[in-house]
Amino acid sequence: MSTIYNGTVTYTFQFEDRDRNKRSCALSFLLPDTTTLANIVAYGDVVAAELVPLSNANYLGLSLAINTRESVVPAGLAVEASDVERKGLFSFFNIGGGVSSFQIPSIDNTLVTDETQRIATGQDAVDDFIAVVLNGPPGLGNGAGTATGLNFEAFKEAFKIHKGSSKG
Amino acid sequence: MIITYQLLFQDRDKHVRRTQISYDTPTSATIAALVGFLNGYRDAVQPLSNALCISGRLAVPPKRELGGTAGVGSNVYRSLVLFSLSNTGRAGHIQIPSPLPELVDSTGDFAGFRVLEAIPTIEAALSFYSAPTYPLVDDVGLPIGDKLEVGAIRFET
Repeated sequence: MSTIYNGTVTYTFQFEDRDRNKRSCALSFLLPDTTTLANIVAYGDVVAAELVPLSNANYLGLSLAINTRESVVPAGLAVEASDVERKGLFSFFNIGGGVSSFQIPSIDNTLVTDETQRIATGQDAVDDFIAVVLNGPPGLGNGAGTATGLNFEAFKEAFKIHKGSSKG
Repeated sequence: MIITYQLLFQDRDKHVRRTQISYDTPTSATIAALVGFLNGYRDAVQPLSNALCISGRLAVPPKRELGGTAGVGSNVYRSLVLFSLSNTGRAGHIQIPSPLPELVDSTGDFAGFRVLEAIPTIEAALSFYSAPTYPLVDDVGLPIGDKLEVGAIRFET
């Protein structure tokens, strides 16, 4: 199974009125998968230029989403032991001196050291994930970073946590 | 450009949770390449989890314009709604927050509620309904027809 592009890109334009209330307007367009990221963003600006003059609220900016779908519909349910509230928390040091974390839903309990909450390195699946965070997926050429562009320097630690919610 | 790569996981009880990561991605990357990177991240994450990865998403965080205060009389709870019919008969709409007062019919039985279609700014905006290169579609990818059926003002409480 893999993720494939479903053919649409959704632009969300956000507006703010005098009372500081915010609302957005979403538009989806059919873009070929050969469209570059630069052109996707540029096209959003073109649409904004037509849209913004219709409103007397302040235009705050746009975000966009590239919509995907599964190549194959899952044949069955996840295994009995799965629980998305049981998470693997992976922490990394970033270049700015802070720490950033990722939560993997339904962390496989076999990866957790017995009688502890700790997820140890030296396990293939754990090491492969740490590598893709620090080095990036094949072909990208750089590792992950924060939303403000600080690259991750090194792996810090990983352990199991439980994070429930009122929705179950 | 910072891109957020998101994956959605579902467990046996059909509850879902998301995991996401951000990478600085070249703007020369095509959509096909971006989906390839998403799958590369997915291949690294799935072995860690016994839930099913059921979907993925790529998002560009908001690009903020300059600040400032909106004009007097602006109200995002009043929206201009443009309705259209897709080529398959599925109705779609676009909702624009706080439309300019001059776009709205101020006379007759529908004063304050009906949109004046002849206004040039609306006509220019409607031009992207029928853009030949990148057609406007609904949220499941069905092309929206090139004909505006009706425009109206909607109020939210």
